[in-house]
Amino acid sequence: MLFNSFEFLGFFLIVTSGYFLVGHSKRWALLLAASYFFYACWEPAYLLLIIASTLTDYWVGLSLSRTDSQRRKNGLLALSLALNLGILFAFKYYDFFRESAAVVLTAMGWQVHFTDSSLLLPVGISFYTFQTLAYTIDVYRGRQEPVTHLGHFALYVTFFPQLVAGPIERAGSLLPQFNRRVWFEYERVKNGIVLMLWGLFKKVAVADRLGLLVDEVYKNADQASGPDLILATVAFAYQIYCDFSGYSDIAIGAAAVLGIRLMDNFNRPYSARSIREFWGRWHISLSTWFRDYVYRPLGGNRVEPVRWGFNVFVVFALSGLWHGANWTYVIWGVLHCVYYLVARALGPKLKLPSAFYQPLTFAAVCFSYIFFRASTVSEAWLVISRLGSDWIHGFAVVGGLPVRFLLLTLFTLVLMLGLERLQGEGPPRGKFQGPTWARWTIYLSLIFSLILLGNYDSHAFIYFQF
Amino acid sequence: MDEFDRVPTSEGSEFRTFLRRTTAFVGLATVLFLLLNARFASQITEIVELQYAELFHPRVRANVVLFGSSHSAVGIDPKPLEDEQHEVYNFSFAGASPIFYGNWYPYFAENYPQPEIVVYQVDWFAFRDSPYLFRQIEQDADLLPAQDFGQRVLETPFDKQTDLWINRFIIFQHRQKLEAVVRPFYGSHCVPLKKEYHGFCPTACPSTAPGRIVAEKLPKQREELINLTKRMQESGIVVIWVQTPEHLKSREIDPKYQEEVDSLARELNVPYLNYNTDRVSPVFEDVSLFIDWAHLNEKGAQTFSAILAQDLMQLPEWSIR
Repeated sequence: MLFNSFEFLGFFLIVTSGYFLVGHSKRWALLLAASYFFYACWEPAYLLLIIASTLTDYWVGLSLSRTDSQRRKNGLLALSLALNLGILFAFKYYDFFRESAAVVLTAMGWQVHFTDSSLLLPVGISFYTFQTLAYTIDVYRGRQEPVTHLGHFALYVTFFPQLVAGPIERAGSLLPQFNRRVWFEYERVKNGIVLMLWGLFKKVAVADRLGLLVDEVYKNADQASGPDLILATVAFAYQIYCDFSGYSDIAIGAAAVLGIRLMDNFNRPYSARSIREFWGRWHISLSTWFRDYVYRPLGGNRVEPVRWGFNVFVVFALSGLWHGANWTYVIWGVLHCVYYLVARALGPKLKLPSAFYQPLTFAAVCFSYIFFRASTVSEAWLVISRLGSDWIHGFAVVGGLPVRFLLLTLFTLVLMLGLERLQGEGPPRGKFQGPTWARWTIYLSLIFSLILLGNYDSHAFIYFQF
Repeated sequence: MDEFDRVPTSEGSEFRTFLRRTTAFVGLATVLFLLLNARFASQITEIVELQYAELFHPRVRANVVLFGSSHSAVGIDPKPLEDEQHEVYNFSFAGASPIFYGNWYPYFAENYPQPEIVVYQVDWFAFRDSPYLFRQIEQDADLLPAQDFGQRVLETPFDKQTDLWINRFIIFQHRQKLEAVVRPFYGSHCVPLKKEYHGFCPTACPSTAPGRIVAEKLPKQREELINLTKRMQESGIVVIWVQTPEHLKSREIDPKYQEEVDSLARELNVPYLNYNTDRVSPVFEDVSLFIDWAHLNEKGAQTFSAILAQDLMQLPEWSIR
């Protein structure tokens, strides 16, 4: 059940109505049942994975609090890590490592045969796995009290608005909210609905339209000119931003209607003036997860410079791998690591006019997206090798697209950027200021843009695959 | 304190405020939507609307009707087929497959005078899951009378309800013709509708269908064509199959696809005029008669319809009893 479907609209209306009709003490049960149903709409069998993960981490959490033995604590943490990462590896990474190992071993002259797993990737597995791991690690570190209410913990793992594509919440932030009494508060509910509408507009009217242009160019990369490829890559930057932040907005808005506050996941990432700043604005819940559970445990920046560089490399490479079991994602992550380290090394020496930093950062991010968008490393190299070619022919592929389509796509993008500015500083939260007539005009513009300009042929959110 | 922590003085009054303002906003949005939809409806007229008008309110009351996909919709002009005994109407629709006709035929049987003859245009890829035969009855939801639409809603499975309701509003179907809000759009496939004759309107625009991609067998297509043909035959209608000519190069297809249709025609004892196998004419080697690999243009449709008329006259089944 996709957020951008009528099925979800009906589902959400029913769940929200039920939520405010039942007593406070029963709301967790309603949300849990709704979340399991929401996930089962994709693949009911994979609910077993979530339930296994939930029961294990619930038990591990309680057991950690009941023992003083460090050895036993280590064993319990290892059990949780092995189960969660084992499931993730089996379903997401096994084939990737099998193929990579086969290539290496064949090159060394060894003939080996690995069994093909052919398992369907469970939707959102990377998100809920990281969320449960965060809980176990926090309990192990003594930063989080173990949850005694199994229902609340199960809801923490599966809360439907953020189950399949985040934000990756922390136990300390989400769990206490299930105990709190939620009132029907007009402003909160209204802002939640507007944020959902805003996210839907970004996904259907902007991202999916841009996707048509990007697909056309990348599909014909061998005939595309340099200007085509640059335009398509910049378009992809906005496509993926609107797609993923659109999902996050719908998730945050839906949770807000239910009185649950989710963390901000995007904060105008393309206004960043450095790669470091970019990662503070892009997929914030993932970057802070890596900071707290990988980077800092490795020693963070309180180590020798070489070791620090290694720590940064590990975080970015893992971040790339988290996005997908493909070398293109690993290279994308490593490329960001290179940017980060080079900027750190040269930053103090390079004195560029301040106006240069933001476009330079955006250009570097866009270049890395070539690997993110390409299906294979060789396709990415093809795109890079053609960036400087055929400038004399202008837009060889994009020029073949209907002018009307290009103008309307540009219109939706400009409308999105304009309305984002109207939301003031900080992460856009769908809060538009001004008199009622002005706000209603904006809401109606969003609705009619969805109806008239939305692309209904492309549905799935890009980040579902991760 | 923000909106998450604020405790309202009265939850009931908050809800009433929400209900009042939401009702006002949704009401305004609905009125605007209906006005825009009405504007689209008044500005856009397409061939399919005329065909459905003939279906539900017969005016021509033809005794010979044509069924088929876009190949016959733009490739068979009824006029050359007509004489004192034969009045012909073209009920072919772009992308219409046997499955589509399986869903559509009950409307025809209920509302249209039973014809003497049905000429069914069968594509060589008709039994395959091809991207060309895309049409579904839900896409014509805006053309169904209210009562039939209501009945359709009751009969449609839950997962197709969205398609049905969305297509009920012309604004969704024709939103790519946004400029029609200010400039009327009359026509079909780039040709003005004033050239329409008995459900036929020639085309000048290439189809957007991709190249000759043929996918796996779709047995339901074959079953539906068998059921439809048998149903018509059992009610006394003479059924004739036709395959419209394609451009020479596109005829270089695997013979197994043609054989799938040929063998069924033999099995059902249906006369079958195939202009891509046994009735290939050198006339259609002329590329200027086509707008793309498979669709005839206005001149091509005239040429082909004249040839088809002559060939049909040779068939004993063409005689009206």
